Amino acid sequence: MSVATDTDAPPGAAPARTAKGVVFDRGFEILCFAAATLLLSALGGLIVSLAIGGWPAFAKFGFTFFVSSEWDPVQEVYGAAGPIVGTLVTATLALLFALPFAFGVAIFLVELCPSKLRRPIGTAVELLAGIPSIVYGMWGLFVFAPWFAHHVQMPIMMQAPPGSIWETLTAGIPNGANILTASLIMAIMVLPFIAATMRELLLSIPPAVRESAYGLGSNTFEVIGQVSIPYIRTGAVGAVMLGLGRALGETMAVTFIIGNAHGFPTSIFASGATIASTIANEFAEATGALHTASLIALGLVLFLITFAVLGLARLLIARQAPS
Amino acid sequence: MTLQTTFEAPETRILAIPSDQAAIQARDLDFYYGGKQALFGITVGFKRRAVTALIGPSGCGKSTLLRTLNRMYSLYPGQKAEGQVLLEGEDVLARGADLAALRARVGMVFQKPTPFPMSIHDNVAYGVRLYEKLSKADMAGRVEESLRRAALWDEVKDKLKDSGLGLSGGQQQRLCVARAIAVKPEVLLLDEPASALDPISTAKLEETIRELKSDYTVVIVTHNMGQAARLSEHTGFMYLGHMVEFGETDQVFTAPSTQRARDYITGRFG
Repeated sequence: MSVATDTDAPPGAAPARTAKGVVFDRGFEILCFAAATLLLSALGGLIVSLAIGGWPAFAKFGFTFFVSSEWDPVQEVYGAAGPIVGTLVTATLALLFALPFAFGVAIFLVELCPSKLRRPIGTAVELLAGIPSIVYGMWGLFVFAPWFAHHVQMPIMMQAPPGSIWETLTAGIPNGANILTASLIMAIMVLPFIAATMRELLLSIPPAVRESAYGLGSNTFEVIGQVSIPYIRTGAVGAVMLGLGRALGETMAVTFIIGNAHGFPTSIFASGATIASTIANEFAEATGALHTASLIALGLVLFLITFAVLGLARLLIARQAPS
Repeated sequence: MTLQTTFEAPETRILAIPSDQAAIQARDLDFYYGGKQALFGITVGFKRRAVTALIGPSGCGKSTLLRTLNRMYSLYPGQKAEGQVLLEGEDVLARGADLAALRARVGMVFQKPTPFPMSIHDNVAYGVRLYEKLSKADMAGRVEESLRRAALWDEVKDKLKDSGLGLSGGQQQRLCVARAIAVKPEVLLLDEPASALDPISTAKLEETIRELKSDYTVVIVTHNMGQAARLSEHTGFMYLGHMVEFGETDQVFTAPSTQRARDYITGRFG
């Protein structure tokens, strides 16, 4: 009994406070629910409007919209295979280029870097992430692409034996505006994101776990490879998928340097297009209703690809998470 | 630099362990976290194939002393030790000592369980694989032997392929003990190994430690004085970075000869 009296509250005060609290709590719940519902309906509305806007294109071309690479506004024939494949290829290449570097940067920053260098390098990585896309595009077009054409693309093309598959894969105009340069620029753009996430993940490993591994006589390489990386595996998959999502949707820089050609890409040195670059290039000057509809349909396809990537990431994470 | 001002000239009483009986010993050991000194002239020996307990209030340097014995502190720039730590006569603080090889000889178990994100079998096999090439059957034998010694075998023998992360806290801690003894270290350092465990798991872990002393030199840091009294042959009482009293456990607990140890053990502070 004496326990209850130590606040000296008058009898009856507590229930009044509670009743007020219930009303407040209820209101708070409703607000949160409304916020969540609003977001979901915005998402639903987006999908529906993309589907409606793109419907004429799907109705006219059917399945050929996805498999044909003929994109001809004059004849009003639209097939999206070129941009779809271009999107997947550039994003995948970008990720392949970026991943080893991102891992290296993160591991260096967390495990190996002298403490004096840790801040400057960490800040540089963050700065890299903060540079606007258009700046990468300009730099890519005016500086990187010409350099790349002269010092990488041309030497490689000269080496290719005539008639070989190697020649087919590297055929193109030596101006540096092609799928490979776009992928490389994209890799530079997603690298800091993946590296920063990896760094946070590595830092989240409890020191005692690392010390346990060292305590058994492991060297640094063994600790990183056999304990640290498996420890963050789940999060790392998520980080990679986020990077992939960003690469898939990247627009401005790619529009600058991919060359904007609609054919089906057969060579890494060929000009190409991605879904985002196609939309950015053509939406303002879309001539007919079917052209606009086809671009909106492309948008829906990009949305679905990104959605699928995120879904896949969730699936991988769920499967790898310890039971 | 602030702590030791309250404790300038400690009254100490240290039982010397003869060098030929000590598996590992510290001599005039000082330790610094950056500019802050955490250990002051520690000279102490840990008897071979016996359990030695280190007790004392939080922050007194018990764990620091432990981390010096396997040079775990070397992972962190700014931490340094001066003096000598002799493992079977060899100075492990010497420049150029092979740290990985040293740590394989001096195993460590931490306050919280630290299973690796791999199967139970692989957790135990992890350290063995680093230094020995065993056939699959030999490895299975080593894993079983280690898990048996850690009193975990019966609980996990049917799920060796399951993740070590799926075990309970007490099981995880015994898994860490199994992992540490699988590499057959000479010395085993236990840093408050039971502090995160429930009483039943603690009892099992203590049973494990009692078993281990026939083969290993065990140094255990603990806040549980009953545990120190039950397990150890020698006990060291530390205070503010000094080894204040070190002797036979019975004597330290029943008739401590320094005032500090007397106050701590009878519960007057700490």
